[in-house]
Amino acid sequence: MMMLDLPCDLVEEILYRVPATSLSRLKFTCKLWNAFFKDPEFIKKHLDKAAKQNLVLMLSNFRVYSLSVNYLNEIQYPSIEITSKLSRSQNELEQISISQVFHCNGLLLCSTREANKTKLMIVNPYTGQTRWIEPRTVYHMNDRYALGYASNNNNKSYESYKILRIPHDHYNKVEIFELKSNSWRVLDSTPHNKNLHKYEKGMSSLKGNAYWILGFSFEFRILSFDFTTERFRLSCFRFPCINTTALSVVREEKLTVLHRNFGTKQMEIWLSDKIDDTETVFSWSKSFTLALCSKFDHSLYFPMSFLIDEEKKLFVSCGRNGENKKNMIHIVAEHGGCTTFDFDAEQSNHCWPFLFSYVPSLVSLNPPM
Amino acid sequence: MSSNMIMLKSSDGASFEIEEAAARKSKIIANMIEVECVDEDKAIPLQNVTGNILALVIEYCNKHIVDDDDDVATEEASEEEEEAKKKKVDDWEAEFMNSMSLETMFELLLAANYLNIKSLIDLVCQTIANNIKDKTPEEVRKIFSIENDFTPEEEEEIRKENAWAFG
Repeated sequence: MMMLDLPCDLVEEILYRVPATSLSRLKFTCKLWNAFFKDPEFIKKHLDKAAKQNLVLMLSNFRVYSLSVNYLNEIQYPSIEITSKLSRSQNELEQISISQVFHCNGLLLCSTREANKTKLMIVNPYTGQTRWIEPRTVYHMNDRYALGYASNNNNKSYESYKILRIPHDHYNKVEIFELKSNSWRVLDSTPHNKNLHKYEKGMSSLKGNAYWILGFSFEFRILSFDFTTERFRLSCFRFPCINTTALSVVREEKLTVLHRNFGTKQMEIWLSDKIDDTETVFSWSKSFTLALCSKFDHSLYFPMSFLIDEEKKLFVSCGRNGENKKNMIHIVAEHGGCTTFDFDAEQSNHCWPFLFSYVPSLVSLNPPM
Repeated sequence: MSSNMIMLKSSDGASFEIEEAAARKSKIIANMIEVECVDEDKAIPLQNVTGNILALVIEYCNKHIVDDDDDVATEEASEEEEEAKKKKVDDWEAEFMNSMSLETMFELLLAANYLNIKSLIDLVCQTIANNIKDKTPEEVRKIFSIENDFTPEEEEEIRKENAWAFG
């Protein structure tokens, strides 16, 4: 059999549709393909055309793990196993402790601790590229960081990745770092500055912008940061403070909020409408309610973050047992199946467990996009 | 309303009759019809497409011309109807591509490209992509007739670039 030669542009059209994890392996095919996968134009088209792969990652005890969640069928309970750990192939001995992680378009923004010093690093595990970001002044362990991009709606491009730094106290100003210019600048107007540090959970990225839950005196609200206009926005939706809440993203399309009332044995999952690039207001509706099984019904268990599968009505959360300080993962199905995994024992309050969905990409850090 | 029929002729001399509306899925043929260089009695010669591939292209165009008509007629179709319709098309496309060899896919892709039928280019590219995603570089080189132009040292260098990874 004789295969026909395809012109280069058709080969590229095919490769735009191959998942990033496969391309990471196929760069060894030839020099031309290796060069394709580093070309910013190729990377942007690949982001648009390749089907999104949703992986599940978890930060626990200063390490980032890739998990395989085996959803249940009719007879089996769900299971979880650790498939791999984010690590550096060279220098096995040199351990880097990751205390915070934020995902955007296949890039992981990691806040690391080395000899009591906080550093900031971006890594793309599927190209292997990393970039260390020097501080404008100095980083603090309790700063919060988010990664996003300014988008141009007209040509659907992903121009200019940026980092948002929310300092640990309100004496310091909010800062923005642009990867292309490699420089920090202070964001002048931050209307919610006094509240920014009070309480936040589940920082998530959706369509290049960051969303998180902010605690006020008697309620939780959702705050977002638009990386294109560089403005904060406070949503109108409110949750009473007596409940526990967490925020997550569904299929890179919608926001979802977990709402657990400690008075009942139920947990509610709320979903926003699809959020497009220009959406400013989102409406919410209740998606499903989970009855907590006895294993989960632990008043000292605090869900920190979670993921849901809308179709299978499945809920995966990670949190910490307030009694034994263990990080745990729960999988709960709507029909009542529930499985619990103790993750790891030795814990630190400087690293809260965080479960998030991750979509591999070829987004380049060098040159920055 | 009966629509106009036009004739297409493959590179190996096979003739096919096709509805004009279906043939217009090809931008090249649509252009030819616009500028009236289509003689009703004569077949349009397609130098780069063989008969067996042209038959596949026509099968695809005939299937999709119906869908386009529906889009105009049922603007108020409910979301469920839309979804059901989309699923029907998806199922048909999966079936259409299912039994095809990679060789045929390559030929069909070249034909779709030559005739400029965007949705068919997308479909074939996606199917080839699904086909190669789990293959090794070695297997993929064979499929695309590519020589490995890396020296072992260069390969090692790329592996080093991948300092951080899930492992």
